[in-house]
Amino acid sequence: MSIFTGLLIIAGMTFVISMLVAFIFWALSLLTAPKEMVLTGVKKPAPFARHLMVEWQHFRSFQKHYRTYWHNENAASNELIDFYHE
Amino acid sequence: MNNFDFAQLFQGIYTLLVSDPVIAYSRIGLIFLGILLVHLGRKGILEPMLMIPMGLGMATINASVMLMPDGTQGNLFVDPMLTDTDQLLEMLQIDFLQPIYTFTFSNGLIACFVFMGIGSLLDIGYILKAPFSSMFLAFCAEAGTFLTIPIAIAMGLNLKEAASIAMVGGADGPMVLFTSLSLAKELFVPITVVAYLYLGLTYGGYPYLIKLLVPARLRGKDIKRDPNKTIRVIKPSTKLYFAVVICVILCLLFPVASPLFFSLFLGIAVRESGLTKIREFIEGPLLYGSTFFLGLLLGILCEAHLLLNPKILLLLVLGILALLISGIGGIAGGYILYFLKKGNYNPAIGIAGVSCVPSTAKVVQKEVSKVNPNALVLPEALGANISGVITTAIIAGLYITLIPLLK
Repeated sequence: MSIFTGLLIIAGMTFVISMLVAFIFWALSLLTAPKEMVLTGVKKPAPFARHLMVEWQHFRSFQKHYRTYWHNENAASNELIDFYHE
Repeated sequence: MNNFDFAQLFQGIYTLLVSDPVIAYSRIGLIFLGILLVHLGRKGILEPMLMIPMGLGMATINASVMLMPDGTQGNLFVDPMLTDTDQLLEMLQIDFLQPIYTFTFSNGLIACFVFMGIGSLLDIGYILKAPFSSMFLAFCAEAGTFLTIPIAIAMGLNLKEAASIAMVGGADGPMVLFTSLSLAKELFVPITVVAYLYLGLTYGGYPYLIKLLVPARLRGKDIKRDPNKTIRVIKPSTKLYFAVVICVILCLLFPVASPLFFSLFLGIAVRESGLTKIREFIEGPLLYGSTFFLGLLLGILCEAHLLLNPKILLLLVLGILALLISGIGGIAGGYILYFLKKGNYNPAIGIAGVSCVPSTAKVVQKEVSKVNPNALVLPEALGANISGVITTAIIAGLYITLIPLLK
């Protein structure tokens, strides 16, 4: 067998084996029934709306924290000021 | 004291003076090259983790040539040319790096350790999301691995040497080391040194190739992902099964390259099976330790007597040619996908198929971001990049098995 033919065969075999590996990848990802995330109907918020949403979540988390502090710790009124400035 | 030659007191200098001028100048040149590599590594132009031990090793070994008891010139680091068992046993007790060379380097163990580390860093989830396009790009980015062989033969190398230097096109250091050890043992030192030197350069050279071959309009193209399409979240167990199945199949096909396949997929299996402590060991001490000793030994092996081969200039030209052709092949693959996907693909991703993990994928994202900061191509680039490692391993297996059969 000439070198040129040999190299062509090696290139061909590389392609076939690579595609076989790709096929196994594909088949395995189907067979193992992975969790699926469906993005249908999910509306991506605009950057400003997302910013507002994040800020609102921050505020809610602060509010919750504050309530816990106030009710559980029985903090005095002057401590409340310190809490705000922390 | 009458017969004492004062010059022999400083044997590094004495051996320079009494050597053949070509050897002497080569030693001086290699000392300066070693210092330059340390400097370039320190500056971050070349990979510091590899270049600093390699450069220092190269400079030191060429400075510390001495007269051995039998009157020949040698050193106290390593003798890679030993074949006699008795001599080897003796040298194991004298040359301080001989045990590391004999027990890890010359049998390819260190390449397998590096490969294990690479495996533990690979997230094959990127390929599982787009297996066919990733593997196709990786195949195209192997163009240099195939096309350099006829060029090298035309330039005077034999087939085994040509195949070994062509592996530089796969841009995978351990693979080049392993292939050249199997096919062209007499040239494995210069080939591996050339490979590692050039692999450090891909980070600097490929951005220019991308700019040259992909116009800015296409370079900045973002891939539109269909929001209605189901996105598969690949579970670690799926990746583990994949690693096991592919490893067994590839080892069945190419037992000669099975140490490499086993090491790569063992790294992946450890990563995906949740063996945290072992994963930390493989991707930390084992990978960094092996890379350090690989660089150090490569530098130590760059002694003028060993490296002074008339073929070295050819290897330097062919190495860069192989990487260039692979880069062009990868971008050509990117263009094919661009047309097949009716324009919804960035052709620059193709070059990430050259498996220099993760450098080429990072280079692609960086170049794309320069044109369009909102474009995200890194997942696709990493898929092609990791596929490149697997494809290079397949080609190494094919070369080691089939090249000796060709005439």
